[in-house]
Amino acid sequence: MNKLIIVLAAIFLVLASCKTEPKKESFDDILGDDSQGTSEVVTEEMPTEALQVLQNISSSPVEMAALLQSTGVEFSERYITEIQDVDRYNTDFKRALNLGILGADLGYLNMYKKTGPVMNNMQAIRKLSEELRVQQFFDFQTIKRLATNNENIDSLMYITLQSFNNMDTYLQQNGRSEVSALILCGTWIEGMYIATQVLNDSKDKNPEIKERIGDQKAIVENLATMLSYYKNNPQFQNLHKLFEELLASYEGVTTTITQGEPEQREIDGILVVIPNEISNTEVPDETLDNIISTVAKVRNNLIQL
Amino acid sequence: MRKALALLVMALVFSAGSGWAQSDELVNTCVLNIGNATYMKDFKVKLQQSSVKPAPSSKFSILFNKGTIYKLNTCNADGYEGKAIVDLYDGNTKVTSNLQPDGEVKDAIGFFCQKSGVYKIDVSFKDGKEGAAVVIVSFMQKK
Repeated sequence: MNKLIIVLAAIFLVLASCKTEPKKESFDDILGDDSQGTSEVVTEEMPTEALQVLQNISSSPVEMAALLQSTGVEFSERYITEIQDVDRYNTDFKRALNLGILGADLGYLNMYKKTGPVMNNMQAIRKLSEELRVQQFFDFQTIKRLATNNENIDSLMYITLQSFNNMDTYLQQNGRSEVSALILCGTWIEGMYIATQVLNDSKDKNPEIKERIGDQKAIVENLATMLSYYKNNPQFQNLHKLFEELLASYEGVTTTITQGEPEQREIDGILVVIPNEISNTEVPDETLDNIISTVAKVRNNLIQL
Repeated sequence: MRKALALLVMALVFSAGSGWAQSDELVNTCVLNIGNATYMKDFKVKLQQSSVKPAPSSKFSILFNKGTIYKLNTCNADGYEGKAIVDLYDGNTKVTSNLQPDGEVKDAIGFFCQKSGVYKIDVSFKDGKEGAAVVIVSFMQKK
């Protein structure tokens, strides 16, 4: 009996020890084989403040695409990144940023039910996720099966979004928050790039899209703050500078709050609360032009890393 | 014998600390309840029984955008007594909750965002009972 208990205990201990232990990766790991060799070795963990900011700004890569679709904007492949040679992303820094960019493109493709290009996009995601050692969160076989069947778009969208969410949670809980932060920066800038290019190409600037872009000022502030915690690292320093430039382009954006009447309404069988505080964001035309050009500059800079 | 038992208990405690294995399955089931809305994110919560008041809770942040209707669907795991209470906060102001004034706990609530920003989701279990649940956040697309 004693022996049996000891064997059972040993099995439990072995199983428990097999679990992924939180692993702290240094900035050196993140920078990887930076060919320029300019990277400083920085070994501190992600500061708590930065992690808090990161957790505050995680958002859905499909929401911007959903807004574009609901306002009648046509799909255009010109807005998404051209997938050529992802092998050139030879450091985790570049891989993480571009994984985020591809994730936003995937959301855009899914929202517009463009399953054809999804497979190309997924192949690139597979490559980058493998190199970032997070491929376990993507069930590529199921994604491929769903992508070849147009009737399963909702499932495809769900499985890909959940994969990204699970990967993000894992990275944050396992001492790799820097990678998560870079993916977030990539996802966010690509969503912004698509939306700003839509406005750039349209004569009549849709007020809803314009306001959504203006509302992102708070997010740019958060992203710039988050990146400021890594200013000692040359690559993060450059990225921080780009986001500071982007923040500067928002000068002139104003938000006012008005008090309305709170109400409750039943929509699709559920009780929906409509709060009384309503925000109104104004983006002057000149400021919008600045935002459009700066977003394009930052995004193109990241894909050409 | 006592040593071996202690070792077994230690091993069980050690292995129980990390997880709630069925949470992904519950997310997959719960997402079926969101109807025509689009899935955004899910939050998994597991809390021990507590007599502390207010009941312990797990807190999450999420970015909501003006003009969008968000849905928060809750599913409680089988085998736990606790029913998840989901409160949504804008800063320190509670904007909605699935706990109704009459004590009823709704499975789904909606929020029509009028102000873009970071909102807080606070999940606890009614009367501090032990519970495990998932909260699915989705948004309704305009037609």
